Amino acid sequence: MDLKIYILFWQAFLAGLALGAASGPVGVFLILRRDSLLPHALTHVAFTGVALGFLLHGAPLPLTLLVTVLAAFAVMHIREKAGIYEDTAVGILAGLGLALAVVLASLARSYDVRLLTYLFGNILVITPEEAFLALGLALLILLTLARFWEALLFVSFDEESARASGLRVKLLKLLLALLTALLVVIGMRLIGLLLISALMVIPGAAALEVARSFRQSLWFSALFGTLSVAGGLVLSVLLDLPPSGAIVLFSGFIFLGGFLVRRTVV
Amino acid sequence: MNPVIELEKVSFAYEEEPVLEEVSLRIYPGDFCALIGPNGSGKSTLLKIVVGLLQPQSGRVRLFGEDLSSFRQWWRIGYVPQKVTALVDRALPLTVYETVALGLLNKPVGKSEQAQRIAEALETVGLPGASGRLLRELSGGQQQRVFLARALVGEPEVLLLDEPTTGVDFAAQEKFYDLLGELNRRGLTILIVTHDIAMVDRHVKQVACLNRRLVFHGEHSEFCRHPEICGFFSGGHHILGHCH
Repeated sequence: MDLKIYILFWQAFLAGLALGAASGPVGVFLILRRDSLLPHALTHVAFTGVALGFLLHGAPLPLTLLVTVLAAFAVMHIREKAGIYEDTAVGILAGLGLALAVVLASLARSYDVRLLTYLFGNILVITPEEAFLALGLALLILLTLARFWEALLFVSFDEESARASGLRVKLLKLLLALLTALLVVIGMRLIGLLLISALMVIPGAAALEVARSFRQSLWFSALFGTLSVAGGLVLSVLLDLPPSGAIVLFSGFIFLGGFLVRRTVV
Repeated sequence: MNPVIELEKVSFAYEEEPVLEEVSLRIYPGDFCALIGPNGSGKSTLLKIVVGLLQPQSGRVRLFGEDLSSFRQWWRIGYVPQKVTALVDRALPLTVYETVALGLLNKPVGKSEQAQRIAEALETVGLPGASGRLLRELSGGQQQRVFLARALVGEPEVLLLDEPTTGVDFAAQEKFYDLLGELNRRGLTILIVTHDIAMVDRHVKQVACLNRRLVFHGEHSEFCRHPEICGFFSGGHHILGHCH
């Protein structure tokens, strides 16, 4: 295969690698908080933002970001104040989000291929502007994690002690929800709403399998996230596969490798 | 001498169920006080109020003479919550070093000082050289010591522990209480919630008995002179068997 074909897709590689590097570490914190389903629920709500964008004839991206961030904060609030089981709150949010999206999309008469591009993404056709936006947001997420990873670890691992030590726990939890919402929005054009949550959770889970420290698990998760995107994109171009599916399947192979390594070597 | 912890007529209820009723308690520098009482007597609730995890419905709490609502010097207090070892998941690759380092988040120090303090804290709890080990690979007793190191690494003046030896075998409990005694002799003020009357009898200096209200607070020796209180709070035979 000619190398030139990959150069043609430089935007896809740039945005995808940035997304992969940022999504893995955020996924590690979500797993640690037993919150792996939160991004899945947020993708359903993000779909509402997309449909709302179509209905109002506005840009879907900012509206989706707004709706997703609000939903992330709402689910946290509901879980803390309403005394509802965490997975129940997530289940309600996901169901209502998708239902609202379907209604709004119907009202906007936008049941067409435009919706499908948000559901399944299409990383190979993104514009340079979208690629740089994804890169910028991913860098912002990584810099935030570099600054706050220990505090997020404390809150995720032992919230009671973190609170007792004077950390601003609520703010840190909001920060994690915000980072998750940002990743959902970046990922919807690249990987698609249906699969972006997998790119957050699977590389993080693979990293936790093989890491010998928490810091190492963050590095590994970023590495596995980027490897998933790179490997998936190469497979997609070589075998003419849908890129989002190939990327997530590749991450699944990495997880399987990590799972086997831990049980045989570590 | 001013109290380091001062509760004045503190009341707390979970929804309609009162847990603490007008509890007043003072802990002074150098105290090693056990907070005992039957299940549901409000021991853990009281500790959570002291560290700001719960807000009392009425009454005042002061730490180091400052009202709890304005208190910000949380590094002066070390806290080991109940069942903390249950958080150690076999899927989590958290090292001992990383765990203890969390205790310095409210008192940031340079990297080299951080390493030195963590080494000292681990030395204090009898786990020198364990910093690179994974928490999940340690025994329950060792994990408990790591969490104690996390509470100590910020060099607090007061240590609060909520049933720290639950699920730990007798020998490890004995070593744990010996360690607390040693820390107390070095000047650390300790308030510990426990059900373990045998350990209280052997190691602590003061006893505070709760049953929604504070029924007794004083020297351990005085506590033992009240068999009716002993019996009421410990089912009789446990504590009476140990009181001198």
